Amino acid sequence: MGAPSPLRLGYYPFVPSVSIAPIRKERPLNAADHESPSVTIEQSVITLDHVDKSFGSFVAVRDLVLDVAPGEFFALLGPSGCGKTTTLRMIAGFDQPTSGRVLLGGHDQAGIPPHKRSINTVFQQYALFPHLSVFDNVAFGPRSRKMSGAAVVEAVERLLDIVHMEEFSKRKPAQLSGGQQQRVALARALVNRPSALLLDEPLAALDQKLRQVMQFELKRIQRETGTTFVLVTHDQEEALSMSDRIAVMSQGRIEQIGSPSEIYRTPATMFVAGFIGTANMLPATVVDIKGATATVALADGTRTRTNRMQSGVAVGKAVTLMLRPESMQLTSTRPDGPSVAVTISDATFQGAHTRLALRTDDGAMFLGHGKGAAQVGEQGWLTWPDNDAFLLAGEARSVGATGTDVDLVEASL
Amino acid sequence: MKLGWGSRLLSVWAGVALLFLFTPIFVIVAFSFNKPLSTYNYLWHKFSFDAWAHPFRYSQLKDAFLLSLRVALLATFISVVLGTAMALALVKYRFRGKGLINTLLVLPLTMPEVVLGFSLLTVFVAINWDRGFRTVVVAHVMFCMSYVATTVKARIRGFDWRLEDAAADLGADPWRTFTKVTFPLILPGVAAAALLCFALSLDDFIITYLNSGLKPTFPVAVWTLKRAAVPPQINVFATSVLVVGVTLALGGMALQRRSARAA
Repeated sequence: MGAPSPLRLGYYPFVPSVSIAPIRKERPLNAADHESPSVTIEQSVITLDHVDKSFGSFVAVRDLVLDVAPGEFFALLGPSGCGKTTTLRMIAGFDQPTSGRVLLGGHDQAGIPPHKRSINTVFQQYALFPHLSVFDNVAFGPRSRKMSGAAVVEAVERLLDIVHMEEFSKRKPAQLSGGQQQRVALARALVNRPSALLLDEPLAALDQKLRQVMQFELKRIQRETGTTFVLVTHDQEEALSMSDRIAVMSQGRIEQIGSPSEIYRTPATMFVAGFIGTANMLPATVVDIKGATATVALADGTRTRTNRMQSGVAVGKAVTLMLRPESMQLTSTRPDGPSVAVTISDATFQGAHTRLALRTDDGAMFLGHGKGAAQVGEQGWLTWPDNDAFLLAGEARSVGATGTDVDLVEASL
Repeated sequence: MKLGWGSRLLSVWAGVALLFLFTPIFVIVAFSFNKPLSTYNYLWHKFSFDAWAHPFRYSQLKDAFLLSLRVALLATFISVVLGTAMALALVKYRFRGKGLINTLLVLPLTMPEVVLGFSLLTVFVAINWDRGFRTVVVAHVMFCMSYVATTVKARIRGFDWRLEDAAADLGADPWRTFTKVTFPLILPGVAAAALLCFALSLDDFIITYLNSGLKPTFPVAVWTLKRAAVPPQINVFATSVLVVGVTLALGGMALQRRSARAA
């Protein structure tokens, strides 16, 4: 990041073409307003500055540092209990950090209750008011902010139009389907023109088909309103397909922040490698590093080269080769390069390729992609091109394919 | 469908049970239309609208009835406010001493009324309060509050507290959150508690008798009057209360059915 751009000052992350009258008193980002102005703080909508949160002796979140940029689609991704919902609650103001600061638009939010924050939330299961109509649900925010009657009607109708729910304005939430409730929850949370919208597992309550539709819808609505979205999810596929950037969390810590392709291709930790997609792990030792290329020796002595690795990979150290299923090929004859002898234990035709579950003589399971017909029980060699492997420092907990349970279940089907 | 003799016997039995339950109520209503021979409205003499035409003939009954209404309204209001707040606190928050409060809450419901009445009397004498309107209201609030807190607590156990988070998130301050979200949603429970409270207050004799001083409430006045007369006006008041009570209960049921259908 360079010097602060004057254009960025006072930037309000809402596309002006969506002309909803201002509801909230806008706070100009004024450098004089805060104690320690810095470039990142001024430009980000949400800043977490070394945030810790513990409940009694249980540490839910530790030393969280992150910035969310205006207009960004940001995801907090991790398994349940990793602290992502606690993080969201601290941003919204329902929980206070034990230490560290939460800043919104550069302003420290310590002691500011949820109803005075410029952030809105789409809750898990939506939390729509059951006694109010769709219209009144959406109007709740503007009315809480003392907007005049005519302006409320205009703002609510605009938002209901954006989420395609204008015909349902007189219905009660219980008379709507899950997807429709989701849309109302979105409209209700966006009508106040929040500086960022927090979404807590927004698609978890929907069935598979609707989930895919709503993924597109969320992206469209984000584009149309120009709002910063912060999505909390345990579903890696959801995070990968929608987000500009993802923070992968585990046990209260951020493991990595990066674009979907960064965290998929160059995971920062063993956890990220295993949690995002499927990774085949192979133990190896670094023999030589020349320039950007490392040569490693596998357990059987065969060698392979790659220019993709973590920092901390050094000659003589134990490393783990991470290989994505799509870079692994199965050959019927032993190739010259590095390879692993395997037996096909399962093959699933998936259209463009066949997903193969492959077992080594040691009993380790690998996942790879094959072309054409594959016969269960057939033997072969798994191989991969140079530079497709990514080197992780240290030894993996287990050899073979790691991945979310869903992948393994899918693979065993 | 043809009923077997077993089922028929069961229907008869149910009829007898209902008759047993409702006979006293029927007698009260019927005897409000009696023109008794003596001052005691115990024997049926002849049908008449006399008592209904002159409900306020006995001024001590009229005064007592109006006092009872005032006591019941005020005691209900105070008990509902305090009891609902208590129920909300007990369901929503975790705090030290919560279990103890939950136990203490049912104590007034289980303790014999005579004991409660006498303890209260002791307290009022000790702090030198003259028995009257004030002491009766305080006494009624004391036992009504427990009923309100217990009833409301049971009704809001399944309340979705995230709705309060959602309201706050949308910019509603705590007062707006309570008036626009929490209260409308717990209103059926609060209304049920208020009805119960009103009926209990109007009806209470023992605690009231011990703490009411010179101005009697309706039940106390009936008790006092009994030595000289039991006029049909008593039945008129009782029937009026019954009609209002049943109307409110039916209205409440209809409202709930309507909101259930809308939901």
